[in-house]
Amino acid sequence: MNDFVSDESLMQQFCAGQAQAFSLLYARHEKPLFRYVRRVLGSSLVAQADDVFQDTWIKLVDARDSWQARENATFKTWLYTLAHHRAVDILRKSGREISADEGWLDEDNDDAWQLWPASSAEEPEQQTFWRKAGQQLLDCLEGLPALQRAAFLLHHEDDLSLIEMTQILDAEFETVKSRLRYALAKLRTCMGAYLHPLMGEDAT
Amino acid sequence: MSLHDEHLKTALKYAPDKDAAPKAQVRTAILDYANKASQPKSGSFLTAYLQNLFANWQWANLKWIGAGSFAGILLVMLIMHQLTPDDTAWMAAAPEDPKNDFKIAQNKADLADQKASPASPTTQNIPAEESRKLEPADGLTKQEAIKIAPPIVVKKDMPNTDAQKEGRMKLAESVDNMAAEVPQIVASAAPLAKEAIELSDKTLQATPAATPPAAIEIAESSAQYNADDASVAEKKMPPSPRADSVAPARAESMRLAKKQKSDLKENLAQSVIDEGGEAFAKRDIQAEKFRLLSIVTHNNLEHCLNPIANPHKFDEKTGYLIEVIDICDSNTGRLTSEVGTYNKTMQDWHFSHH
Repeated sequence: MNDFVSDESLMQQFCAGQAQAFSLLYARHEKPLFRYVRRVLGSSLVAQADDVFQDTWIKLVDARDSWQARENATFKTWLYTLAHHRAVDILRKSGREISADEGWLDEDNDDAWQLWPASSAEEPEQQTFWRKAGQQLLDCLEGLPALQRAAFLLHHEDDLSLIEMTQILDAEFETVKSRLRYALAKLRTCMGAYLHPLMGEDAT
Repeated sequence: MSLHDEHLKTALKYAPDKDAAPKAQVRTAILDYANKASQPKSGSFLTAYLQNLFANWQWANLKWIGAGSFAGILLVMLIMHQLTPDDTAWMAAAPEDPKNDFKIAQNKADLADQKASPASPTTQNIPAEESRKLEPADGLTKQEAIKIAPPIVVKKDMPNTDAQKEGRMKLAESVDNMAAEVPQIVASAAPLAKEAIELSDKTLQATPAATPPAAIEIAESSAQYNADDASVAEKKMPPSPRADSVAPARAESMRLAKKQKSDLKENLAQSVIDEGGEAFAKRDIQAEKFRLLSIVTHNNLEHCLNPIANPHKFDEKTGYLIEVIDICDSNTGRLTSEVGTYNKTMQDWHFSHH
């Protein structure tokens, strides 16, 4: 087995009794999935990230026979669906807001990015900037409703398409699109607020 | 507004938690769980094999397997039934036994004698000679011949030659029918029976048109014994499970075989009378057949047909075997005289040479 083997083939091999195939699958998705779980749960529930993460994989192993019948679903979509549902359960039990009630939407905040450095971050100084920006983004994500946060993370962190997101979030395409739009608007505003102090520091 | 923001993506990529990973024990627990789940649940290779086997097979396949097994068992039972040895098969299974060879020769001689007219002078030497011709035939025991021989119905009021012809025709028809109906053993025995019939025909051709007394006796005894059918024989013989047609044939053959024994004795008596006691004794001496003769007369027809087996007796002076001649006729004057001459000739030869 090598890296060119698709997730679906590895999952089929695991269903046929090859434990090594599962090890490969786990290695591929361990960190991205764990990051997704951590970020969706937020800093207040990060302690439960390990449980949600473990429960996700245990459920995947137990339900591997049912996955064989779903030919249209990719392995990654199924994996993130299981993780998302488990995380939402934890959020609901904790009383955190998970709804994505759209109210305020400022779509005219793209001007903030004009002051940001390029996103390539090749220079060491730029990397420092982006590490700080990353921490600011995590803080901004804390202020988003869980479903908008999930939509942003799935689309920007895990590169899932809107179609795949509809399956994971169990929502209509327009709903997913709307959640993602609201998340971006809020994050841009939040990150613009971060940029001004940062620029001010540089100015000083 | 675009739904994808490269700046946010880059910020997310450099976020402080980018290298976050689950605890080592969580990783170990997950991998162990998956590893156990991928193993056969029972842990037994045989059980896993059987589970896999029955999981892959459809219930319909099991149904076909069951049907095939049932058909196989049925076939084996059928073969076993066909191969069930009866007394005929047992007797035919030992053709190499010298005793059986003796029985075969005796049986063939009996069959030949039965078809020949015992009273005819021209047929006196035929049975022994023709029976030697029959000896190379297949190894059929006397009991087998008895079983396969069909019934012969000889009417008392018919001319003897016609009665014999009718009997032979029915015998041939019965043999053909039995060869077609009865299994292999009967078919293998049919040629012998036909051979006996042909021998009988030869004898008949040499027989004068005059009615032979012995033929009359056969017809009379046959008619009396069978009451014009095989019902009496069927009562005496155990019913055969094979075919209804075989039982009367077997009964009739048994009766004829017993009659043949009696006829053989009468042949001996007739030979003594015809050749003369002295000449017959000398011929026996030349053939190194040393014996003495004794006469037992039966007035009862049943005893004549079913003579009591005489134990072997030996003469005290010569040590020769005393052969008993069963006679179903009270008129034995001539025979007694010739037997006396025979015995005296045999004794004289013995004492002159010992």
